[in-house]
Amino acid sequence: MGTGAKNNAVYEQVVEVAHAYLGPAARRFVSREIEAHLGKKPEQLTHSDLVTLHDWCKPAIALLTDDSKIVDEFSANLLAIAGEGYE
Amino acid sequence: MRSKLLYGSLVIAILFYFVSVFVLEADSAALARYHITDTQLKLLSLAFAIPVAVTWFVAVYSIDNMGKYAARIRVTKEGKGIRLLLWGLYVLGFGVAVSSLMSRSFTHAVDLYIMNQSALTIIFSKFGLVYLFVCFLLFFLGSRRLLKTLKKVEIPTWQYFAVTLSMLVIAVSYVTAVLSNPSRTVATGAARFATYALPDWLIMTTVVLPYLVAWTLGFYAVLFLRAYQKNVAGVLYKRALNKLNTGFIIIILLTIVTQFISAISPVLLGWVVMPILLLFTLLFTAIIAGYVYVALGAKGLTKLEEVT
Repeated sequence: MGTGAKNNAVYEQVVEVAHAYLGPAARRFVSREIEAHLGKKPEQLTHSDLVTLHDWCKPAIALLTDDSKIVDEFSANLLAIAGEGYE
Repeated sequence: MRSKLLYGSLVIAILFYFVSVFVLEADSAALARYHITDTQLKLLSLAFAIPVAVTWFVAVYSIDNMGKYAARIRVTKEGKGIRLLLWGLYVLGFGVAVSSLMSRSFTHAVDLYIMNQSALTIIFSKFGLVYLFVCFLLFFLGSRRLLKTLKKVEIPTWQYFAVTLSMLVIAVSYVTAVLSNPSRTVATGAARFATYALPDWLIMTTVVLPYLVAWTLGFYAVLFLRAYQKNVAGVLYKRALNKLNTGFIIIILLTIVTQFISAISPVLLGWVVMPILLLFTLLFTAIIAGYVYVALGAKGLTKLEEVT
């Protein structure tokens, strides 16, 4: 991933949320999700992509744990940066 | 390709080991010591061979999974550290397998006058030392490298103190055990061969001291792995890492225990068969558990890198 992605504030916010769950694997996870499901490069992520990104990321996190609290918390944190109206 | 090579080597090693159990002539000294027949000794050897084969299989399985994870994160910050840990596992797995195969043929090579017994003893013990040293050095370097990927980590002074104190206790116990081994230079009593076949000063400088250095590296690797796990972020990452670290810690500590037992091996020769079998069963079970944890941890970490 180039430095472009690191200059993208939205992308960095998503990585920060994922970091609390996936640690060093977070940046790679978010980049994969963006490329695989949004068909974009990480540096091209925009605020309007966040809800769709959330819809893909949540089941992916659910595949990693049976703990629904973690999945819900991750989902809420990601939606929080997506903006109001997505409780 | 790597998996095929790994499992192919495993099958060859296991076949070689099992064939050696049946083909090689029974050790007459062992028959006399345990008052058993040739067939009974072969069956007993088979009882040892099964857990050995299971341990090798689990070790290869864990190396294979660790290899997949290392390949997956090859170009990341953690890649180098994980790769060094993987190489440590390779060296340990290869070293343990070769040692076992060497020990199977050891007695017979001496019986057939292929080599001088003292020379074989020295080669055998030096091989064990070299692979263990390299393995623990790789574990130490790998864990230190992982720790350096974190921005700020402080290991409490008491933990360094605990490692130093543990090493002092182990050093005193190990030196005492080695020096109280009557067969250390020349075989005595039930022992058929000398444990080291070296004078005391050479045992201390070329066996005891390098082992103590290797174990210290092992303890530091444990310390660094724990510090990395404690300080790294990510609830799910930590869960997978916890399994990997637990496995490494079990493997490192049990390797030290195994070496310690080999230092007091002449004492074991005086035991009846059952306690020896029990001791080895316990050790094998714990080692298998260590490798299983490494495999599960590596699988969990790989999943984090693959999920989409």
